[in-house]
Amino acid sequence: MVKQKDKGMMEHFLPAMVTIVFMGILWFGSMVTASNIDKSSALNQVTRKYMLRMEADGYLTQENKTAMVSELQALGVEGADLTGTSLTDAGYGNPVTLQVKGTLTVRSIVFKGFTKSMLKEERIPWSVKRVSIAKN
Amino acid sequence: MNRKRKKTKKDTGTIFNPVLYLMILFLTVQLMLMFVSYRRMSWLSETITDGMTDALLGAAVLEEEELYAYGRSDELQILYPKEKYDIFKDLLRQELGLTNAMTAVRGSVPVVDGNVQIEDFVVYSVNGSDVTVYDFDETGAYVTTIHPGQKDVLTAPNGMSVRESSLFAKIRFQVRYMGVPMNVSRYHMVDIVDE
Repeated sequence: MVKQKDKGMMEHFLPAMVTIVFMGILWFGSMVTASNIDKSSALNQVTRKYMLRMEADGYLTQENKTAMVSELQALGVEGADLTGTSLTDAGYGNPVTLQVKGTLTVRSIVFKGFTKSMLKEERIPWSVKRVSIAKN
Repeated sequence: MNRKRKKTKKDTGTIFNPVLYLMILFLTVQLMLMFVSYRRMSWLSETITDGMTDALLGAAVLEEEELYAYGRSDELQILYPKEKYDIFKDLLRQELGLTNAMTAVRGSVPVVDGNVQIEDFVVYSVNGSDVTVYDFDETGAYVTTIHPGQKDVLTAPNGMSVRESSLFAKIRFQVRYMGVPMNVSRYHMVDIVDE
């Protein structure tokens, strides 16, 4: 009678290790996606804050413009272009627009072998347009 | 030839069972997808609520005659409710990146699918203790009702009592949650104040 040979330790642990590696990749990917969503949310909040100020002032003041560009830069927006934004007093009851275009740094996961980092930073076009009515 | 099948020793269930790992992996994929979808929905909810609030605040601008009446009576009465509705609709359309027909297209707020409908738009105009209600339907037509002595008593559809002249809006749209289309409604109310 031939006795079946016991499986080696490696054979036992291989599925477990593969599962752990895949779970790690999934978890990491989800976190990267969640951080990109959070960044988008933060950008929305920044532009909204300055839109509300524009509503009260009737336009984007130089001080607010500088502060907003600086806040956007901190969140990864480069080359903020404010063409189309109301930069002079629109007057009560008239539309005010905040329009920003630029490039945004986002993270993504790319597999290029086990020796290289999977995390990749890339620049994508980003734009936002907000409109309201001046109440100054 | 009569071969006797040899009875082999069956593997006992252990934690090293590959099927178990496949199940764990499958569950992890499901959980992570749900986690990302949930975050996207939270983001969408926040974006839509902000868009509605901004559009309502924009619509809360007073016309010249309303300002004049306010100067005389010191009460913020709404005399042009249709203008408020039109401003709200226009601002909401621009905030969410919709077409003129209020349809989501490429470049609109992601996840929103198809048409965005203004299900309800109500203008509450408070004059003394009376409240005049202008209730708009989905087509943009409205009915006017006067509620004498109902200030602080009348409640808006969101359950808040009407104390100041205010605007209430409820919108309806479809989103895709993990590929499944779902109907969603959002509502919001803002007071028209002089500050």
